[in-house]
Amino acid sequence: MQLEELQQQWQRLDQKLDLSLAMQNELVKQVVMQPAQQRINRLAIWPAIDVAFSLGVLLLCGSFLGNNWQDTRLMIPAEVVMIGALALLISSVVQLNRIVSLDWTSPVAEIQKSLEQLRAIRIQQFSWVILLSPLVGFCALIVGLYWVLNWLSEGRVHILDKLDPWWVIGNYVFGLVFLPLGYYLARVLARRCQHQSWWQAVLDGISGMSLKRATIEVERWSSLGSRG
Amino acid sequence: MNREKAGDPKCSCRSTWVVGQTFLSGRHKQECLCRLMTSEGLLSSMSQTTSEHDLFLSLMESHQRMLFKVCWVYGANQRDDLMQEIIVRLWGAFGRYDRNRKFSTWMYRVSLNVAIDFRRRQQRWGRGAGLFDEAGAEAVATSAEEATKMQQLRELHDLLEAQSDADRALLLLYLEGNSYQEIGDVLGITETNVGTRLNRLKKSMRDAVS
Repeated sequence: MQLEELQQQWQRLDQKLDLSLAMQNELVKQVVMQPAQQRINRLAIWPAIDVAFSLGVLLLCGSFLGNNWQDTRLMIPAEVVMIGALALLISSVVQLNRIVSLDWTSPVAEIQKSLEQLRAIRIQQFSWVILLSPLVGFCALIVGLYWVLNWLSEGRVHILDKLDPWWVIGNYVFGLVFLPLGYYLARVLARRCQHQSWWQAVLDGISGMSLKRATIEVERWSSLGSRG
Repeated sequence: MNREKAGDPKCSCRSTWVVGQTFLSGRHKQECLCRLMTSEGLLSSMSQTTSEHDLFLSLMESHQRMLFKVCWVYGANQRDDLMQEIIVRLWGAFGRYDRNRKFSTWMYRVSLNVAIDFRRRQQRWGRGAGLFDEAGAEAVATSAEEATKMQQLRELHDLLEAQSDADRALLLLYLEGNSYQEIGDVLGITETNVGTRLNRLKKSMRDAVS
């Protein structure tokens, strides 16, 4: 098929539009007159929630570390949580910065490249959040339980005295082992869940397949403007 | 409201119309508006006299086919959602629209940017946007000729579906009859690049047929 033939077929589409166009006009009026009812993908929502969450965690952890800086057994989990929150904060701020600078009226190649770069950062963040969740989650549990028990018993009960040290060490080890193990499992399972789109998307995100695709798209859009 | 005479020499009816709201009706209204409401004409005649709302609504009315086609190519079975998203973005960015520049270029940029992003989001979560939307094309095959046309539209849709996001945008702009310079402006690539990519597309289509 030639492009000229396609053009003729394309013009036929015009003849079929009239009814749809009336509906479209109504939609335009609704959007302009009722901005509160707009449904749109707001890119900044999740990074903004992440910033608020990580700032909250950083404040709590900072205060916790300040009060318990002499207790080395508590320093490790609190610092792990703090580092995790700091990394989440940095990643979210980078995303917000990119979103704010997005101008949808810019040329397509430029905006699509920025969107794919943004997507790549998100995928990386998602992957790290999942892979680190057993380790950081356990550390947060220790810190949280210590804080609750300390408050309820007025400082008489220490959570780490009540827990089996081997169980605690086992959880730390599992958290560390889960990093490569989770990555490997995600890769294996992603191939088996090809008909379950939601799981496929999650597993692709963890295993780096989505990141690979996003990187290819970034390169594709970057090269679009440079090839002659 | 301001009354103005239709001053377009190409328009034979010279009907009276109210800015932002026409007294014309039916098919004649469509044709007349298409002639009268070129973006540049509208902008020069309306920007001083009407609110942003009216100007935006009128520009959307005069460019609605363009918008519909972007949604037809990228939205398919989620066309209404895509349409709404594009209109919201267009309206949000309208305040920053430089009125010395061509409206269609600005509109294409926003629409295609939103549409490509929308499509990728749909694909990522397995909600493929690749089905031919018969309802969108108002497909009522009442005769053999109509059925043939519908089949051709389906083929056209399938052919566009087979292209990458960038090539699909390029084809859409080409099929709409834009010049290489306009296509380059929308996509952010050089005219030479537009020509090269179109030639490559022609060749791949020829190879596919042979």
